[in-house]
Amino acid sequence: MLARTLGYGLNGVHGFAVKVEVYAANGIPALEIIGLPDASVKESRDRVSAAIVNSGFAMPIARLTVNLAPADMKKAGPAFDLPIAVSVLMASRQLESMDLSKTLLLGELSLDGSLQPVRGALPMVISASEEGIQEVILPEGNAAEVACIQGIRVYPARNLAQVIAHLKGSEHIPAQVQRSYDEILSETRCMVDLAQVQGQLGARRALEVAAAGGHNMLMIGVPGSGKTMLARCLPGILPPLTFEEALETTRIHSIAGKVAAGQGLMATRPFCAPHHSASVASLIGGGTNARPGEVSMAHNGVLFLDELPEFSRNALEALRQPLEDGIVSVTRVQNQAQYQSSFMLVASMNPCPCGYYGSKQRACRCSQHEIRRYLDRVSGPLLDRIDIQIEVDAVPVKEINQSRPAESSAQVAERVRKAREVQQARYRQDGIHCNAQLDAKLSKRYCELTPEATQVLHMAVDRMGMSMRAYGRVLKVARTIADLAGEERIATPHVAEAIQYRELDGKYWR
Amino acid sequence: MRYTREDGCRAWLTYAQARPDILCSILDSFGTAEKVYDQMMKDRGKCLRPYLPQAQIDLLRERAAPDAMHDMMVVMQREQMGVMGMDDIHYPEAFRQMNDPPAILFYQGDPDCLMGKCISIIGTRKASPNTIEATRKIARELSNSGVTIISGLAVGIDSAAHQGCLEGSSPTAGLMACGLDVDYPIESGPLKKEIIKQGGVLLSEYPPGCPALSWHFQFRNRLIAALGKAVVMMEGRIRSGSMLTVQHALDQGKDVYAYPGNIGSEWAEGAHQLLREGALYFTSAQDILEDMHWESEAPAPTPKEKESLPPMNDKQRQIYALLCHQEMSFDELAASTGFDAPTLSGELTMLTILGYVKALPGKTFQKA
Repeated sequence: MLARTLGYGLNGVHGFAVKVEVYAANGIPALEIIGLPDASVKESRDRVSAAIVNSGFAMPIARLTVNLAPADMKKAGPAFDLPIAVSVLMASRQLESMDLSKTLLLGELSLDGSLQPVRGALPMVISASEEGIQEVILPEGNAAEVACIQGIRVYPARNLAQVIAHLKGSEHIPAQVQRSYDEILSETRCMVDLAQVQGQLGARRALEVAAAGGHNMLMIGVPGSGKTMLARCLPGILPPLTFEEALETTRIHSIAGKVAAGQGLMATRPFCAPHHSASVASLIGGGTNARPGEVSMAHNGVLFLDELPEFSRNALEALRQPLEDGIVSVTRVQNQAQYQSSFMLVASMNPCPCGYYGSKQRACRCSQHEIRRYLDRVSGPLLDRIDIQIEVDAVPVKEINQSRPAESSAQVAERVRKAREVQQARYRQDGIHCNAQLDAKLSKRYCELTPEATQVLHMAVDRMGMSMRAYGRVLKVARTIADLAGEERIATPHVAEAIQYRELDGKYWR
Repeated sequence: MRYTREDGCRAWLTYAQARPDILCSILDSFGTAEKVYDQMMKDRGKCLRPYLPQAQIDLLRERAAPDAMHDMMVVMQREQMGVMGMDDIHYPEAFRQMNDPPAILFYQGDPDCLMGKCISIIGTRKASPNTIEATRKIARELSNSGVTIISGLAVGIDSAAHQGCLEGSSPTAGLMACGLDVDYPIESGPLKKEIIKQGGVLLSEYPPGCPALSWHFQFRNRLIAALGKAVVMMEGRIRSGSMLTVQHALDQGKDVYAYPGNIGSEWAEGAHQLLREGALYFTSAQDILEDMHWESEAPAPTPKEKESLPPMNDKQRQIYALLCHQEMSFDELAASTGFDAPTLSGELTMLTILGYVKALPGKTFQKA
C-alpha cells in the first residue's frame, strides 16, 4: 500500500517541498529511508517507530520504504518525523487514505509521541504559503513564529495522537488566529533605554545621528566609559522593523535555530555582539550546511564588535563585503547559500593596549610604538566604511549622582523616525534607503551646501589635515544632521557638527 | 660621494665593535686605519692581540676579504654615507672635548649643521600626549631661533623633537644606535629622509648593516649629551635611559633643563627629581634662549598670530573663556555653558578650525 504526505526542507533562506512517500511491502519488517537523507533524517526511523507505538498505534509488520522526493536534494533535520509517521500510519491503514498534498506537516517526534519545535519553521511556512499550500500542522513551539503569515491555516499540535485525531476528523485542532504585525509591534519593548545613560551628551548625539542616517560608528574610549551600554541603546532608537524586514530577519534566525519556542516574529531590531575570538565562519556563515553567521543574524539590526582590534585580522577583513553589498554568499562543499546581511556596524575599542591613553583619571603605560601597533590592527579600508568615529570619555562619579533626567529612547526615536522618512522620500527613485548608502555621484546631487558651509568645510580640510575620503564622509553625515534639523540645504552648523565626528582621524590615525 | 682607501679601512675597523677608547688607542698606535688593515693582512691579526679579544679579531679578518670590503663600499655609496676620523675638518668640535670621543664616525647629510647653536632634547618613548605637544612646540620655537635640535630618533619625545625642529627653520641632527642604513625603530624611516632633506645630519658610530644592540644605546646617549650646549629632559621615569643621558651630560659639564610635567604622573618623576636636584627650570623656548645668551632671531610669533585670527561669536567667546582656565571635557563644557550637544559640537569645530582651540585625546579640549 502506498501513502503520500508533504514535508518541507530548507535550502538557504528558502524552503522546498518534499514529497514523503511510504510503501508497505511484504517481507522482513524494516523501515528504510531513501532520497539523500542525512544522519538526523535516518535516525527518524527509530523516533518514528517509538512514537507510533507510544501514541497507541501499532508499527506495521511489513517492509516499509520511505522515499523523500525530489531524490537529488539533500535533506537534513528532524522536521520530517511527522510526515513520515503520518505516511506510515496511512500506509498501514490505521489512518484512512486521504489527499494531503495541500497540507504541510512539520515536526520532530520524541519517543513518547509529543511534537518538538523545529529549526527554520518560518522560512518553510513562508515558502509553502507562496506555493499555494493551504494549511500546516506544526509543533506548538513553532506556532508563534508563524503567527503573522497570512493566507495559510496553522494548526499547532501537541503530539502525534492529536494530529491523527485531527486528520481523522474525530477531534479538530482549532486553527490559530493569525495576528497582524502591528499588534506584535505594539507589544515590543527595548531592554536598554537611553534614559539610563548618564551624561555622555556628545556620544548620545552621535548615536542619534548614526541611527538617523544608518551610519556605521566607531567609539574609542577608556574601559568603563559606557561604550557597550550606548551601543545597546541603538536598537531602541532605530525605527521599528517593517513587516518585510521582520520576516527577513526572523527567517534567518529561524534557520539558525535561534528563535526560542513561543517567540513570534522579531519586531525589535536584532543586536548581535559576537565575542572577539569569533572566527571568519562564525561571523560570515559556514559549517557543512552553510548556516548563517553573525552578520546575517544582525540583518536589519546592529552588529556590535566590542574590542575591535582584538578581532582577528581575517575576521575583520571578511566584513568588508557584507558592509558593502548587504549580502553574503556562503559557499561550502555541499551547500551554497546567500544570506542578506545589511546591518549597522557599531564598534568600540580602547585607545591603547592598557586602555588609558589620554585619560585624566589614570596614566597610560603604553609606548607610542605599542599604541601605533594596536591601532594599526584596524585596517584603513575598514575604517573607511565607518562614517562616525567618536571618543567616549568616562563619566565622573559625581556627575552620575547629580543625575538630571536624560531623554528617553522614545523621544530620540521619534526624531530619528522623522529623519528617516525624509530620506525614504528623497531616495525613492535611487534604490537606497538612507544617507549612509549615498555614493559619490548621489552625494554630489543631494548634499548641497550653502556657500558659508562650503567655506567651513574647505577650511577644515586645510587646517585639520582632513583627507578627501574623510571629506566625503563628512558630507554624508552633515546631510543626516540637516535631515534631523528638518532642513533641505546643509548649513554651517550641520557641517561643523559633522566635522566633530571625524575627530579621531587627526588624533589617532595620523 | 668619493671614498679614499683610508675611508674604507676606517669603516672596516668599526666592525670590530670595540669600545670607543680601545678604538682610539688602536688608531693612536698605528697612526691610520689603513696601516691597521695592511698590518693585519700581513700577520693575520697578531698585531691586534694586545687590543682586542680573538673573537673580534676573527670578525675583522672575515670582513677584510676583498668581497666583503666591496659590498660594504657599495652600501655606503648607495646610502650616501660618509665616514670620518677625528682629524676630519667636519668632525664635530663638541666630540673633540670628550674623554671618550668616537674615533670613527659615520654620517649622512650635512655634518656642518652642528657648528651652530645646538640643544639636545631627550625623553621617554612612552610620552603623554601633552608632553609630546610641548616638545614639538619648544623644538619648533628653538628651531625658528636658529637652534639645531639633537635627539635620538626614537618614538615618543625624540621624534616629537625632530619633527618640531623640522617644522621650524633649522636643521636637526639624529644620533643612531645602529648602522645608518638600518631603520630602528622602524617608524624612523620617513623621519630620517625628512631630516636629510632639510639639511640636517644623521650620525652613528656603527657600521652599515649593524643592528641596534642594547649596549649601543648608552654609548649613543653620551654623544647626544655631548653635542648639545644644554640637555633638555622632557619626560621620563627615575630609572630610565633618559636619566642616564642626563648623567652623561652632567659628567661632561653640560647644563640640564627639566620640563615640569604633571605632578603625580609617574612619567614626570624623572624630570621632577632633576628639578629638586637643581636642574634648570623652563617653560618656553625663550627661557632657554635667554639663559644661553642666544638672541632669538624670530621675535615670538604667537601674539601676532592671535591678533590676526578672525573674531569669535558670543557662544564661541563663552567656550573660549572657560578653556582659558583649564582643559575641559565635552560634557563639562556642556554643563558649564548649557549648550546642547549639536550646538556645542559645531562651535567647538569652528573654534578648532579658527585656531583658538585644540582637541586632545579623551574628548578633551584645550586653548590652543
